[in-house]
Amino acid sequence: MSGKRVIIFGGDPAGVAAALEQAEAGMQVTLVESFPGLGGECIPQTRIISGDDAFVDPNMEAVLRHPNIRVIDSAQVQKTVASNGNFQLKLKRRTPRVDREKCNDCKACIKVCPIHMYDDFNEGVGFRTAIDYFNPRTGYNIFKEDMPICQATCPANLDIRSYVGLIADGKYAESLAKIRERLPFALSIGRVCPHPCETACNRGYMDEPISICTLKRYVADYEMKEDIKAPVEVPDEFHKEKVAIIGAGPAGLTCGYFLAKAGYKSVCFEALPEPGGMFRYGIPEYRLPTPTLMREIDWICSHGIDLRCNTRIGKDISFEQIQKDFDAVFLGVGAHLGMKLQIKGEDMKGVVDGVDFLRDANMGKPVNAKGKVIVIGGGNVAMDAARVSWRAGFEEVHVLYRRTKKEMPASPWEIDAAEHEGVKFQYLVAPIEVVGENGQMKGLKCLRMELGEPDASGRRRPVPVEGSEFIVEAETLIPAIGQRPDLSFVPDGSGIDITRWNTFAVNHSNYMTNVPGVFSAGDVETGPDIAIKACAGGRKAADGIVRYLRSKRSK
Amino acid sequence: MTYEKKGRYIVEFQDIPKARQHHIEIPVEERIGNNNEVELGFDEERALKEAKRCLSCRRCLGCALCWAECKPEAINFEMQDEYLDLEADTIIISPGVERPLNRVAPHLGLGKNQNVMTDLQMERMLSQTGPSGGLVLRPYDGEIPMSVAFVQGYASASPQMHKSALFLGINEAILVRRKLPNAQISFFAQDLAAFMEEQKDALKALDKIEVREAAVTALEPLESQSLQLTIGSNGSQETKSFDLVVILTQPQLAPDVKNLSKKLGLDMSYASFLAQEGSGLISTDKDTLKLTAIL
Repeated sequence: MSGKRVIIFGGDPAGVAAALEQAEAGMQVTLVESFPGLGGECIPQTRIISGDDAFVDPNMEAVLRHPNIRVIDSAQVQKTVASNGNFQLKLKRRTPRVDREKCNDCKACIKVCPIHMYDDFNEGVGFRTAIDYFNPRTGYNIFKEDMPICQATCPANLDIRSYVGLIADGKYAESLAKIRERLPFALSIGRVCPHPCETACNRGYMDEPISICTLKRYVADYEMKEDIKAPVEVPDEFHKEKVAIIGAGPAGLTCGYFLAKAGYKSVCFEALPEPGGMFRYGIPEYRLPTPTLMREIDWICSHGIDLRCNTRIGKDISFEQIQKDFDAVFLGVGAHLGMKLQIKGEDMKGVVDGVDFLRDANMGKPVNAKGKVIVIGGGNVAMDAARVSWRAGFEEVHVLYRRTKKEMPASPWEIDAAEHEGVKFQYLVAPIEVVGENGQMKGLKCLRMELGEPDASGRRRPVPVEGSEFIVEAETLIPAIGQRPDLSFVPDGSGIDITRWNTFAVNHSNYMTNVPGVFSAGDVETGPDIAIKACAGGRKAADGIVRYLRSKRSK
Repeated sequence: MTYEKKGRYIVEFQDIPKARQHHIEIPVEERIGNNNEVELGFDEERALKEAKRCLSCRRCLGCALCWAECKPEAINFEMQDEYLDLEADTIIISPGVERPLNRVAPHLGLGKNQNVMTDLQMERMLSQTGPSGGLVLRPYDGEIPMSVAFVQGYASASPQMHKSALFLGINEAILVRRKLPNAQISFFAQDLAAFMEEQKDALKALDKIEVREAAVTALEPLESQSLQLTIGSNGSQETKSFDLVVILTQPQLAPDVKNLSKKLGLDMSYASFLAQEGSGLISTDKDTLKLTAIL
């Protein structure tokens, strides 16, 4: 018996020819192929063809009929053990969902299948359907792996199809694990993400898109509510290299999380008293409660991040010292400086920048909520500032925006919620001067606008209407017209390239700046953007750091 | 090819809920004067309903149209993945080759211009059972190309790999010539000298195929969707336009074959098995492991 069992891996012409040869020699042959059928390149690659001898064409029919050959396609090797001169293998065969004994190759299924995709059986030449054959002689199957539109749209490329499917099956822990393969912040992102994936969702063509974001939140909430201990999966031993992470925000903590998963410990320096960055100090409490965020951050840090709050680079510890003490540095300090309106009277009492206002509110500092407040801007920070003001008890909350509702960059549901809560919107209005007495503001002088030609952003440019000046009375003004990074912590001699948008310039293949070993991602690299983009950047930078540390060691 | 997405094909199953589920939120009057969380997400019932609405795009939707159409009742959605235990005394690996597209020089515009294709795509197109039934067509408009250029798409490769890629390219050029007797066919590659010397006799028999030691330094799409190539050879440059450009890709050992052979205790590099001449089985340092030579 011994010596007669042969396994052949690879159902290409060479493998098929070998199978026939072995079977003819009296062996018991098993032919294993990972593709859903036999076949492969048939043009010779070792000689120049001549005459009829143009194709290698092994006898596929004979292989399928031969009594001594068993063909297993769509198969992956899961385990191999070699002992006593023979091999034991464990294979997983993906189901074809087609009973090949019954199939009569009539092709009726192909004609009705509504799913058309690039034909990966034929190198993407032409199209095929979800049910199709790779080789009609080896059988049909229903099969597809590709990146659907939601996953392609998500900055972090979360495997949405899989985690939503796992929820439908009631497998919440598995679903959450799937999300955490690419994103540690399921609780927080599940609450705050403006979900571009849902905008792209194909179901939107039919009725309404899938509620992807709230589903992500559901599995994360489920773990929290049921008080299930979140698994911490890190290697048994960590490498000796250490990474400094500057800024404990979405980018920095995500970077630390994936570094820990790859076996690198990090120390995370945070200037503010608590970690979380914009999650903690930018997003209002009513959208993301602090205890929820802290639960998530504690779990992330338990992977191997040493968190040091109240430590400002350039004040409590110098940037040079960090570069000296650590093998790599990640800069994820975010964009916390509010843009100025550039109008007269902006330095008066009563004018608070949107980012500062939200930070103070999130730190629990009392708000002097008297009379009327004006919020300027049309983004999500403006909506947050308006809704926080309304909660703080201002008599009236007005949002001034220089274009119309249609052009507002804020998420439509945030605008709706603000309107619903009683925030008043004034469109086509631009501020020109803060007016007041003795340094305290009393009102805002504004101009009416109308829409002109589209500008570089594709939105119609607002043009002032002459002689339309008017004054809105208010004691508080919150400009929320954009943010930029504060790069003052970087010493002049560091040599890090800075773009004209006051962000760090990085190489997007590894997220390294022009200074070796210094990496950056998040708002400080992209400019103000959505949280999941910062998380995605943090993960990619972690990959870059791991590669950098490995190459440094092997030198 | 496009198809309408508007629900035309989607069979309504009892268990695919229709309406989008909305998250639970606290009423406006309860929000003032505090910072309590407004949105409360889904409860289990809503989460399950919503998750079941997902159509799992570009993969079988489970619409069951094929199932309804299949006369022999061969389609079975309940079929599960199988796990098999196998034993063997001898293992033979037929490694084949992989041709990673990210190694193709970006200036050749693969993926940007429809009429630029890889040698593997051309191989499929030449196959009788392939997507075009063996016809050579321009992907852009389905016209018969009157000029075809084969262009080396990688900077350098080991001598064995390079030779294998040249054989495939030359053979494809010969097959294209058989299909298109009047087309102009050119073949531009580098480090050709040794190959041309070795294959002198076979190359002499080529039917009006221009084989030239040259590098294509630029590719410009024209309005006709033909492609203008800037060809540099022997220090001189010329431009020439072609209806179809075929890129020679760099062959290498597929990662999963590498993994498998490593698991089986075999260290295999591509060169080691391509260097073998002839057909049949190649022995390795282990008695019970063999490789098949490339055909």
